[in-house]
Amino acid sequence: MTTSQHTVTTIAELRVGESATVIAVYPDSASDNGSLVSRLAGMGIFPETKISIRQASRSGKRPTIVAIGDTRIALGHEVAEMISVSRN
Amino acid sequence: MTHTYKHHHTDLLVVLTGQPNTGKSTLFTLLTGLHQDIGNYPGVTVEKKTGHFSGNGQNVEVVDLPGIYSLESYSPEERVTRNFILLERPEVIVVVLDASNLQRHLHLALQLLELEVPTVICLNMTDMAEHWGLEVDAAALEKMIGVPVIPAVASSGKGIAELKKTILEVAEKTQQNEHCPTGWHLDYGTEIESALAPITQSLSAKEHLMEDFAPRWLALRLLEGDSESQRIVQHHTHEPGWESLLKNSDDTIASFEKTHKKPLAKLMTAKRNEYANNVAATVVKRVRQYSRKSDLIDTYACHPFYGLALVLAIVSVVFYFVFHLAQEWTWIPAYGNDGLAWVSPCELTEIFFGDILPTGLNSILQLEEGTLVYSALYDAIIGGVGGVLTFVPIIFFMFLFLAILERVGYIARMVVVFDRLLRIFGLHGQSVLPLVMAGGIVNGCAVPAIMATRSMKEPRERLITIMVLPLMNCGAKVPVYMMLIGAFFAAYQVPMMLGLVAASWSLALLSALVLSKTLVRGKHSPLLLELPPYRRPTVIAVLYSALLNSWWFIKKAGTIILMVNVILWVAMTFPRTEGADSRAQLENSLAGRVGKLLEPIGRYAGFDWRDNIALAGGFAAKEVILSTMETMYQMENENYRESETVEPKLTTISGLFPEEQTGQVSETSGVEQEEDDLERATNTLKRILPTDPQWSMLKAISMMIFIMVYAPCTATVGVIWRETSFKWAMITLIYTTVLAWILAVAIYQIGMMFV
Repeated sequence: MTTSQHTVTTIAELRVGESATVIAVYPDSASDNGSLVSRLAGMGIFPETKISIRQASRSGKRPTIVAIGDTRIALGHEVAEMISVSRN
Repeated sequence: MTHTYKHHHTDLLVVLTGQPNTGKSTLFTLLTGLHQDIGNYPGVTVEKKTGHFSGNGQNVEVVDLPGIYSLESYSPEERVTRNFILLERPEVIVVVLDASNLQRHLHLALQLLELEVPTVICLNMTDMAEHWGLEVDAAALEKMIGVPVIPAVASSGKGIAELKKTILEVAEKTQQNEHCPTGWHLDYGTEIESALAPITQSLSAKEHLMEDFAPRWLALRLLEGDSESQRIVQHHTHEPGWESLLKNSDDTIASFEKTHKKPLAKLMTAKRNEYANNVAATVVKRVRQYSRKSDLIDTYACHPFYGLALVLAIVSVVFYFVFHLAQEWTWIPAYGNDGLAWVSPCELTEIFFGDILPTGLNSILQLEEGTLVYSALYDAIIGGVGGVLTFVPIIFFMFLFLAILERVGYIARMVVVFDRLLRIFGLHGQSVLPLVMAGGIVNGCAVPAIMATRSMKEPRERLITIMVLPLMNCGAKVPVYMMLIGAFFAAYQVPMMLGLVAASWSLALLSALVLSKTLVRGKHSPLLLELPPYRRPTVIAVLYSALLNSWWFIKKAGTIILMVNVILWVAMTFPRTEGADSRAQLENSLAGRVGKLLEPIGRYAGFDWRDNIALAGGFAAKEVILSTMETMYQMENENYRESETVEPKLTTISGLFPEEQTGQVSETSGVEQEEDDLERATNTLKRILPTDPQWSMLKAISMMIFIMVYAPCTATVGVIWRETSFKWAMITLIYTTVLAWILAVAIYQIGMMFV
């Protein structure tokens, strides 16, 4: 990854209104066989996508709602933690 | 092997595919009307919807494939879609795209185009795109991807005629020459293309393989490292050389990874995304800005507190309207002996099968009342059919509201709000609606509630939800509670009812938790859900959903329920005891003998054999417990009033209506009389039980908890069987009964220590 260290985080850490660019999806290898990556891609979340946060996870207290263009996706905390992003 | 489930009975096979929330199912409804059938794909719990239309003298079979986000072979839906298209060889695949969100939807469309099957693109929701200030150039899209593109607005029927016409045209071309390449290829760039070429070429040489698969598609999947494609090459090539072919592709993957420090599959996905972006950029123009109202609504609808309150309010309103429209409000005019009367749909069914049909039929058959044939025909069969059909109005109205909520887009918000809370117990955000429908607020019915789980996409969470729904306080258990509360806790009616509601929620949630850790193990699917923009539902689509689901219930579940009830009727009627009164007859019947046999087990919970028989009767429908109990108890305790006691019969199996007594049907309407019977049984028992030495407050509590939890009624078991399998229906039956017994025994035995 070429992005400088301090701006790299996961979707789970972002706050409401923040926007970011997706770097990669790191599925929890024990439980995933690639389906999550392809499903996310189909929903519009893949590297270099610009996203913004409509509702923040607040350390798992609620689902994260992410805006990708006109698409809105709700993510559970465990999924939000798998998507690394760089803050814009 | 590959052609085993190819279509036979129709001229043309057309499939609909696309992402969820594209209006695909509305489109399907518009294409096929009511000629639909819902089933499952063999071996997986993926719903299969098929329908028909005819045009140009051809009979066209349309299959609505499950909504998917991509065409990898990971999820069951994705595998079903891919296999169906590859193995069934449809003449045309219709890819439904959301014009208002084209870039994202092209991702899947490009994957489908690579299958090289004749394709028509349906560019749906063009009205939505326009509303959002987007201009989508269908002609330009058609030119770029080389297949017909039909703009449509499924919600108003716009473009459907054009779509049908195009489907038939493309199908005709397909039929004329076997292979009809679309002429379109996504260019992956020189480097990947030059690696692809030799693999495509050697695949083209394998004749067996090429009957079913496009060589370029298979080569692309091999380079992505797709394991299913590797299996295809292994299994379908009867010629030697497949080992070297696979090794070749593996080598290519390895060398790419070395030079690019990235998996080849990722490079290819990036190319596809880039291409989709280019197409979208060319085809879609933003002509004005638009602010989404959906986002504003969602700040409240998805909010942890307001959202929760909104879900509960909406679910309660739906619950209220479903049961009032079906059962409570008398809004249908009926002409009877007394002139015009207003009845509810459920009452209408009751009157027809409990009164009009038996009376009319018997004026022809002239059967003698009280005989076995009379009872078998009118009680077991006609009464049974009527009992099944009384569920239909409830199912109809429930699916009416469910379809509205679904098409509006609200179900997804419901899941978001309840996910965290219900996930703890192994349930799903969507479980809240079925739980309330089954009796979460008191009154309700597990049968429509189980059917309401159909829209849940996660099979495991759905199964757990179905298995705990029978624990809720449905409308048939309530009269029994009311009788026992009236008899033993008359001063504490409200707190007792609230206690029962709390008990059933606690038991349902705890059972779900235990089931998710024991019998229904597996990975909990993480929350990952699209929140579609709010939309106005289509009247036709909503109405059809209600009609089709009601019809499914009658056809598929109704038959099982009827069968089980006839068996129960036999158990309570045979062997016949000549000249015996109704109580002796029941006592001596198969069911009665079982009740007596169970006495040593029931005793620990405080139940004697009379209670056991009543509870056995409750398997038909919980409110039957009242009438059976009345029969069992009243002779010992009061002067036996021959005129009022009729043989215990299982005339209705509805979870909502009490047993009916056909002996007097011609006098009063079936409904009024049932209410009388119920009231009479309740009053008699309220009088008798407190004076019975066998009964106590403790036994009443033990009994109420047992009734809450034990064996779901036959209708519920029948629906569980149809919605899941015989195995899970039996497991539910057994676990609920065992749990009920353990709880009742614990309450009774611990209570006895303090009495």
